[in-house]
Amino acid sequence: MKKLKYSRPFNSRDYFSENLLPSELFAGRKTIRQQIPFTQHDELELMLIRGGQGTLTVNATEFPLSQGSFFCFSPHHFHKLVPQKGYPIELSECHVNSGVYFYITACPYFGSAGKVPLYPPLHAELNPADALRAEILIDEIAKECQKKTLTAMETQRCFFLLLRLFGILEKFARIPEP
Amino acid sequence: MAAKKAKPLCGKPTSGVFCATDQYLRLQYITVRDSIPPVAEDNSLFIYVQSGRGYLSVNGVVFDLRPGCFCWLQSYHIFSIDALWEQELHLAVVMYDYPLSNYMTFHNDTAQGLRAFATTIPVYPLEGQTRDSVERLLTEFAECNDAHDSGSNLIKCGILGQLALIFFDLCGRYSITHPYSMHQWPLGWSLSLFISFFCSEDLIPKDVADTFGISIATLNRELRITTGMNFAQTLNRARINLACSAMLFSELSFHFIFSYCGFRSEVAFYRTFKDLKGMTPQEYRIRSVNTKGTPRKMVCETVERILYYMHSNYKEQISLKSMAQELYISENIIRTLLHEELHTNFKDILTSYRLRYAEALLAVTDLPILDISLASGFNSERTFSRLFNARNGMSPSAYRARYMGIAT
Repeated sequence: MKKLKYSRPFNSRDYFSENLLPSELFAGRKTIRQQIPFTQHDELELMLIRGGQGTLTVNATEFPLSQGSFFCFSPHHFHKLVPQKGYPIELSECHVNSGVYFYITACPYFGSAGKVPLYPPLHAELNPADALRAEILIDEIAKECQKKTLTAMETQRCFFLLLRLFGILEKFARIPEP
Repeated sequence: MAAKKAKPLCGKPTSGVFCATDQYLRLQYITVRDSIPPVAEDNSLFIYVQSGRGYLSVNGVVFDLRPGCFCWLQSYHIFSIDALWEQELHLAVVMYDYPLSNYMTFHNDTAQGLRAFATTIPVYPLEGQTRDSVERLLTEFAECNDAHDSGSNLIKCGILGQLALIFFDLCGRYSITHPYSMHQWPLGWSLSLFISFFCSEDLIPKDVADTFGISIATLNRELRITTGMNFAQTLNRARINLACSAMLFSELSFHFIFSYCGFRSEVAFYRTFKDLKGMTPQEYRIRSVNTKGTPRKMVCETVERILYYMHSNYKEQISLKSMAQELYISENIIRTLLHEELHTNFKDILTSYRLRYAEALLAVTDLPILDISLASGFNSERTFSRLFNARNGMSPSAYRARYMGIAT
């Protein structure tokens, strides 16, 4: 029997496999005991409140925080965290290159929203079950991020976890006023 | 596990049984009491056996089905399902359509993974942790099965991707212990796999027959036994399926698609497409977006690249020309794409990013307005004030007076 002489299985994959995920990804848990002054990041930040009480100020809008508050900050969202005395804020956060978000919005099953920069951040108050689900997803991403270099499979896994995380936010987000 | 001799097909395979156009991102629960006749789907699908016992016959090879079995069947798998005597097979079936899997495929080393995946078995009995994770993912999928909003769809897409990764992992482990050998499989199985794998190449019956050391008559006979189709029909079906998987990507022209899929002329592509699908490629493209169930849209990655570039660089002095040079896309294409996809233009998007950033700086800092206008990417305070006034109906200083109190 001759050896296989063909080398390009499913030719069209060459086109699609050029999609490279932007690599910057960070996820982890934090406990905030003291006020954090206004900060801003050039990447997207997903923040999930796991416990504690306090307030969050984003630009000129104030949000009371409770378990299950879930936010997505863009670079133009300067945010300040003020924990209530005796109730430190426990949060899970995930920083992701905004290119990932734009790639997610290209998903064939995603509506065409999300193209215009929103003035208030995307914000959802999750019920305990969904908050737990989002928390597990961020923890799983954090576990992958601890590795120094990610294999193709691990990068894909992170992308799928992010898809689900953004899905939860999109599903329960209140549509902010323009 | 695998029989050397293929089990011949009884009846012509039908399509659209599990992968109809209204079944995108939808988990189906199927009960098999007797048998499901041969099926040839145009998309891939996951099958998870919830309870019952039976057999799955794929391209002439019979696999046992028992609770916990996880299958991923592709368009080149012609399969039938039989329940054991007096038993009911309860299956959870979900379609993973090719355009979606193309959209979620990354990295150039996927071709190697694909080879390992395609040359191993399509059915794995799951145990322990892997079984738990598959069941948990399917339960989560079922929870948002009837919802078709963007959020639920993203969750479902993510779950499908995770299921695929679990399957890839199973294949990888299997291929280490069972290296691929053509002799291990019935001839029909290997032929069908070979043709689908390399359908975009310039395949002719003689070359394929020579590769396998058989005559052209044997080639056609063996293919008919396992797939119900001869060489030309199998090849055309594989090529048209490949073309369909690229249809949802609006940047790919039909001219590009036909040559990509191995057709020599556009006329042959159009004729074969119409023969197999009953409609022209243009009609197919329109129908693939206007589905009955879950809404879909065309994927245009260039628009996302443009938006990402603007989002990352709006504070800099960028222009349509500089962006076109950086992204290797012509200015006209950028203009047309933004107009067609987002109904807006370059300047509008850039100004809205810059103004959002400036609004935030006005609300949380006490920087002079000139500094804010420059930090947000505007050339002068005057331009900034004019655009700000037009957008917000007030001057930057009035905006600051109104909103700064909350922040400090």
